[in-house]
Amino acid sequence: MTGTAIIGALTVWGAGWFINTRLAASAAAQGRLVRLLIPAIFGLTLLIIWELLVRLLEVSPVILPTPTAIASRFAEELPTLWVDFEQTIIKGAMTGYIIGMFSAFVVAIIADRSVFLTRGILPVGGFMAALPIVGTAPIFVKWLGSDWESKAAVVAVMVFFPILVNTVAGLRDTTSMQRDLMRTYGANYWATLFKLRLPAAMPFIFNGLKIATTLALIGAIVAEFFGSPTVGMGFRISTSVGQLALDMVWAEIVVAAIAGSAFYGVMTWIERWMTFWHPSQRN
Amino acid sequence: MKSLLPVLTVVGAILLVWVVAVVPMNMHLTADQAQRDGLVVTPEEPRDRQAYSGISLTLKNPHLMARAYVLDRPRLPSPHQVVVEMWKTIALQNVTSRRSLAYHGWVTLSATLQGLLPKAIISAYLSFFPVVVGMVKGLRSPDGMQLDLLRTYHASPAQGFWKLRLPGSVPYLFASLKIGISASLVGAIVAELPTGARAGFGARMLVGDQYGQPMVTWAALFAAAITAAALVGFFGFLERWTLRRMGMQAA
Repeated sequence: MTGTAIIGALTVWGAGWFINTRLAASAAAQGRLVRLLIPAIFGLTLLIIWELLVRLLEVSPVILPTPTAIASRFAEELPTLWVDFEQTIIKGAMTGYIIGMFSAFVVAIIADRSVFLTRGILPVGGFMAALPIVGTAPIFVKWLGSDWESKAAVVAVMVFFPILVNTVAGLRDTTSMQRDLMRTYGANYWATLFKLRLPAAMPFIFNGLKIATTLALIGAIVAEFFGSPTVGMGFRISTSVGQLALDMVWAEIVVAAIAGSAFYGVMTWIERWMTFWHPSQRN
Repeated sequence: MKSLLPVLTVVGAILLVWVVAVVPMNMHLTADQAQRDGLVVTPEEPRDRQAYSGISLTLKNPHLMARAYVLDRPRLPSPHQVVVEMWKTIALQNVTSRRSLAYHGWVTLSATLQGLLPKAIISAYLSFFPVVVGMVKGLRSPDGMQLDLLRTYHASPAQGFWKLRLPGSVPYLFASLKIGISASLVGAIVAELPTGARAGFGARMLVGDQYGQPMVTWAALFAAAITAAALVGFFGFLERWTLRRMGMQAA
């Protein structure tokens, strides 16, 4: 049984590899369709191997459910998953992300007015960004109650420092030549800020915003382990593990993965739209 | 050293906000405790006090301010309480004791650094992709000029890899190692939360939360922060040392 499973998995792997190398070497390789097709085939190969190995090796669904089981559970529980998504992602993560983002912008612009403050905030903020801030989750849950407000607070603190550091670094990224030009135009501080320095800082700011998307999801889900109403992705994950309903856990993981990729993708899309002039965005 | 004074100023400002915030955050608890100890509190009824915010209750009872800093189970402990708790659990306990934070730190750290336990798999997974992406970026960092120069030397692709692209990727490697190590630590701590782990920083935070011992949570939080800082600092030191040995300027 083990032998057939391994041979089957290797065959599927080889087939996927064969198709992809043929596609990559073909004349159509530069086409839009093929460039989307290649990663899709890779993902599909992994899923088929997963299904095959779990079925043939008779792995207990408590250890690892099959992709088809996860998919059917996903389809069945769509209303529950949607409610959880609303509670954790929309109310918890998004609110916190927006609060953290705007407070980071405000602090960065205030700090930017003084060289002294900038020099202090950059290392301290970089240091804080590396700390395990998720650990503050139990404290915030105790302070703000177990509903989404405490999750939003954890997320706000988590995303604050990466965005702050990147914004402060970005605001310093203009050359003295450019600032002198603005001065010869008679531009005051605010005109220089909005017309030169903020646009120049955009690539840095988006870097921070993109890092913060994953942090926001982690913060919102983990904070629910410390207490939550009977809804939410973190709550569902921890209770489903207790019921040994691992397919439900995986369904929530799928939701988290889709939400995370979509969030990151939207940020990348906005970045491309706003910083089309930057060398990294030009073709 | 030029940035030492600004950094100290910012840290000082954060500490100041913290110390000031302790009073209003703890005022309701302090007032309850003071009433039990027989002091005069200005709304007499505990129920009436709930209507006030922490700040206005403080303004009504300025004589209780000092007591807000010495509560047993504060909502927000003052910095000195956290330091005392950490000193008690790190320096004054036997390292192998369950009460010692050093022991819990070792449990989390071993999950972060090696790769066999289930928690360590999560840590390994979290640090895997930052390092892969950083290394690929670094290996592709030499520009056309440098690659052309090697071609004029008639260098083989393998020589190009060993002599140009691999050394060129080292700064990127260290940048992503620093991201990876803090992600790993976060992963190890988070992995300890829902699994009923008995030891480690995450377990310590959960214990403090569930048994109403805020000081335990706070001490674990700060110990985890110090551990993360030490790990990142160690990689920073390694980075500077390696890059200096390789004749590159540290980024």
